[in-house]
Amino acid sequence: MTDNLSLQNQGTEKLLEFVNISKEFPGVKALSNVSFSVRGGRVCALMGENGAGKSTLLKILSGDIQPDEGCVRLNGKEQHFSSPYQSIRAGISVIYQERQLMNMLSVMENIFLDDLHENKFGFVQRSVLRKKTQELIDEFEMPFHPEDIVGHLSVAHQQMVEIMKAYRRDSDIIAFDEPTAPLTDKEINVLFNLIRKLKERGKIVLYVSHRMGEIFQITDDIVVLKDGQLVTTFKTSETTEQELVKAMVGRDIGDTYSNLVRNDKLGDVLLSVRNLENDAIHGISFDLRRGEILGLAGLVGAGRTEIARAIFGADPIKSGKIIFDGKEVHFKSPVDAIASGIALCPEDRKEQGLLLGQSIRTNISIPVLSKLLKGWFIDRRQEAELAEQAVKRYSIRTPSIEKKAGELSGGNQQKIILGRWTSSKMDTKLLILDEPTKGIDVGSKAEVYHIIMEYARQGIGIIFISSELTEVLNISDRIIVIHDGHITGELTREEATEEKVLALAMKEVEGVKL
Amino acid sequence: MKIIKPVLVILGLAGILVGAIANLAQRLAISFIVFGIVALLLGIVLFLLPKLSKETQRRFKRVTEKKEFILFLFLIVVFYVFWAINPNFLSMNNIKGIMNSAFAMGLLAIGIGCLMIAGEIDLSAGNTGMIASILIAMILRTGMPWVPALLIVLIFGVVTGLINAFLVNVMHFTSFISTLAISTIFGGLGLIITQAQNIAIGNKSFFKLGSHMVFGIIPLPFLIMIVFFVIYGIILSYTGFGRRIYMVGSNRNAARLAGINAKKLTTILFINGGIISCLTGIVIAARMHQGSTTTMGDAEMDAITVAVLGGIAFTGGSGKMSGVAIASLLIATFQNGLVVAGLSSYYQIISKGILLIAALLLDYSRERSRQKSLKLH
Amino acid sequence: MNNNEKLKKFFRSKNSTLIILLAIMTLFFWIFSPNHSFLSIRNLTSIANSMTITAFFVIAEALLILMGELDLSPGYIGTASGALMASLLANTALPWFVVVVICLIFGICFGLLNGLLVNKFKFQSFIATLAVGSFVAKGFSYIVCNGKAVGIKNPAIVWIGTKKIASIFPVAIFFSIIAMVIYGIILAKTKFGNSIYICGANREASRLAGLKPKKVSYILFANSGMLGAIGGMLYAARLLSGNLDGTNSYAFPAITAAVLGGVTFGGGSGSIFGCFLGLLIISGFNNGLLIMGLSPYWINVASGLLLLLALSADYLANRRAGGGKIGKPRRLKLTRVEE
Repeated sequence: MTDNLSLQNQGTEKLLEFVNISKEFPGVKALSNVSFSVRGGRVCALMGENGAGKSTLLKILSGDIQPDEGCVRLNGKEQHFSSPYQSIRAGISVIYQERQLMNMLSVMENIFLDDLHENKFGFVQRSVLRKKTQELIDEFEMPFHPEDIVGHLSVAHQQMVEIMKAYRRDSDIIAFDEPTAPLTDKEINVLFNLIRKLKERGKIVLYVSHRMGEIFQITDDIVVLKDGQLVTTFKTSETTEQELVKAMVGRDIGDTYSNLVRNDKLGDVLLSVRNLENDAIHGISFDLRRGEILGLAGLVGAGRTEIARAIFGADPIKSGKIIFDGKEVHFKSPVDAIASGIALCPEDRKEQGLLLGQSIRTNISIPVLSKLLKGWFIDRRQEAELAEQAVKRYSIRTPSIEKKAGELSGGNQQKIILGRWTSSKMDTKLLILDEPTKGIDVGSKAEVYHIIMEYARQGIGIIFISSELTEVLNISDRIIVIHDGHITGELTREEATEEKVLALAMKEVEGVKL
Repeated sequence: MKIIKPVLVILGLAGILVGAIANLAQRLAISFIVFGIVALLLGIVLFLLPKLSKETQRRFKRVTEKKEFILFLFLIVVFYVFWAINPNFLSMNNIKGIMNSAFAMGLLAIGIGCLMIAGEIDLSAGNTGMIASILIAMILRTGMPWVPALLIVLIFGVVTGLINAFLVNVMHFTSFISTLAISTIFGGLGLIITQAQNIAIGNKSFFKLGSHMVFGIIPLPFLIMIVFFVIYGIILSYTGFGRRIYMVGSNRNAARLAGINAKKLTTILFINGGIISCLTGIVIAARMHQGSTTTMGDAEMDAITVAVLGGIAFTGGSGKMSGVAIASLLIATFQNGLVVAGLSSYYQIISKGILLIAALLLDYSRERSRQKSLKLH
Repeated sequence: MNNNEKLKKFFRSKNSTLIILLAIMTLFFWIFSPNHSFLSIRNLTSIANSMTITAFFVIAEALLILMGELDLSPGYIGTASGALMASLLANTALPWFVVVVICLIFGICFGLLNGLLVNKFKFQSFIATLAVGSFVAKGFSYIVCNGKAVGIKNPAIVWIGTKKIASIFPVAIFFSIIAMVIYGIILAKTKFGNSIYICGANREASRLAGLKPKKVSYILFANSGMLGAIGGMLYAARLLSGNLDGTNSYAFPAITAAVLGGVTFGGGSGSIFGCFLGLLIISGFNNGLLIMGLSPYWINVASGLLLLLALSADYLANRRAGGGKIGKPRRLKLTRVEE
């Protein structure tokens, strides 16, 4: 597509300014006096721990919420958006982490959501939409069709549709909020090419991400927020990862991983999986020893969560054997697995791990309710004691155990789930952790790592699933790499490198047609 | 599986022959011939299919997988079965009866259906129509000509719609509970106004609204319903407003971010629902020559059954008017067929329930098989 | 929590608001009813009478609402059970307790059917129970009754239905009081009761945490069918006949009472005691209107208005606390196929 647009944009450089933005929610000051600017043709990263204020800033930019003080300025002019729609018209597109798609409608209807090209009678001009959508699909090199129903596409493709939706508007300012989480490498390449194109066209790009690799690959400037305030800005080329982390956390946490005390006393074999098979996984076989941390690495959607759920009894198994603690087991549901001593911290902590509207106390006692009985009734005092112990043990920051789980930060929420499985009434022998540090700030991450190491030292076997390669490489004693539901390779801690793991994660498995 | 094609062709030819030549009772003969033709066609189609272009194959698959197509097949089967049980089934009189009963549930299904696509529901439709029938009866008794009377009652529909919209959009109640409450209130109001008596209507020209036969064979109400189905079907599938209804039902938040005013849209739909409900009540009052608390019967339960059967999911964002239209015919036919077959009205009630459950089960199994085929990707 | 804190918590709770509401309403009706008859013994027993049967439905609805489901069928199941009971008593020589057990099983079967549709076939509970109740169960009633009411003459049943202790308190009241107490304790203090709150709050999370939401769901639906059957049988016993309408319309006021009493859809809060208060308020309100001379047709209107009022109050209270939708979580899925 010939880029006449770049000729048009020359001479009128765009400018986005955040001017003294402050926003307060009941009990929490989300943003205080944040001011910075971004010029056209540059990609600016927004970094900071969870709760630093990044999403609040994006929501203000998109018009979803209004600032208490300060304003957004576009090309020098003050903007006041009372609704997201207004910001879209002003040339701003924000692509959120949660996909906002219409699953039962077609790709083209989703992309042209706000502009269905209606003729003067209100009728949608489908042929026009179809043609324009196909042009976009070709530009993005995607394999689907304009009339395909979005709900039938893969998650990665859905995310691409979301991006196409914003791209189509030809907005001057596009903000991405953790866009690469569901994408495979192929789509990530397309995305980065796209961002480069946007730069060439003089657009302003905001990029929020926790993934250091991407930040250094694609961004020009970095803005660091901490506790609602602007800490500092960097030029990407002039800073390092360590400096960034220090700015985000406010303290030099050193090398997060070198502080950890590893467990070097591995016990006998705790878990033996042989040829595990169901709809999503094939021929999975591995062993795990007591006190060993086994990392499951792979791309998003490779099947690691499915392996975890199969072992936990959450998903049915078609064939294969699981030998746990010396006995062959057939779990029909998580209840059986838990009774045997297996615990799972699910990937989606908020939707599948916690009861957000219930108290910490309730959340912690769920699996052991039958052990907290006095006669026929639940002993509330014991239950409270259990929760208090967990809060103390894991330094969960909360005024009381009655606080609703949904009101805590991501790190504390994860600790509640960990506390649930390791309370004094539980006898967990195998702990499966699925993305335990997702969306958690750096400080809490370190705490979680220490906890994991402590479990290992106690002889608990640990399966550690994570999409962050650095994490997997540094935490695991051994790494198994999964691709498309198969094990593609196994590496010990000493021999594992990022390249090797990545290569295995993308290795085609024989006989699997794609 | 390969053997099916020649088997079908052979069975088909055999059926036609037997039906045409053997000395059978007329009904049996026709049945054989019909089955024979169907089997033959099926065999031929299956035979030819792989030979046609991929594009045609894809289109054929898309059409036959459509819910509406399957419903249509069911309709034909139901017609056939009941005719086989009792040939009177296809008599002019009976068909008229089917068309008349299809009207109530069909028209209400349009109003409720649009709301369901948008993610809401209107359980007050039936009783709104009931009040409308009472109101029109009362107004006509004062001697007013029926056209202005009708308009006045439609205004009541608008008001009802506004009340529902208010409760849902301003008070943030879920439409299910608030329309249920309104329905209960209207039910009581109806009893209070009429004191459980019927209000007779005397306006002769008004009766025509309910019983005039267009071209001598089609009841006017039925025609009105068909026209409405066509209009709403076009709006839903081809206009921006219609597509936005799907958007609101599919993902309300995303729709909001795209600048769609969901509250305005649902308000329009509630008002639309109110008007349609009143229209239904008025026409039925015209046909029954009276307004009472029983004119609408269980109409809105039937309407919801029709909507769900026709492919509109409670979750919103899916369903087409064509499916709903066929579904209303299907249920009306089914209901009527049971009566003609001699089944007491008690069994009718159970069978309607079973029909609804069967429809939802079918939906469930299709969803599951679709999800399964997705997983393989 | 020491006693002082417990007292404070109570006063801020929903239940105390309800008690205040109850007090105000009682005062109002007492002042304005002819001869202050609202608080007369006769009237109070009349209120108690209308409460007894509804109480069973309220318990059934409350439990299922806590699970995030809605059951519209217990009323119809009740009618069908009452009709079945009358029919069996009149046409067979079975002893009355056998008949009662048969009817209970009958109700449980309907409940299990509901459970099956909702759990295995992922129907939305409202449509599944509506289909089973207003179509299948209602049809059953018609068939069993063959179109007309069937009289009950069995002395034991008649006794249960009409006997009054000290010629004031119907025996049935004790049944419902005992039921409420037992269920209230189960809900608040046992593992099963707690798991209802937890499974209702987040089904998948509760499963992954070691509970069995499917089993709980089946049990509650079956329980609802059983309680519906009990309610329907008591109704038939009181009327001395199993008839066509029976308890058909009892589900709605029951739901109103439960919602009024603070039970939220999958919200993890609410108690049987609260439902009891809600029931008191509704029954008292209906009765008060009747005493003041309003025609009985107004009861429906009043019920509907009361529900709207209850929901509004809930909404306003919620708004102060920071939001949330009323009546049901907006994400009401029809088919939870993705499970």
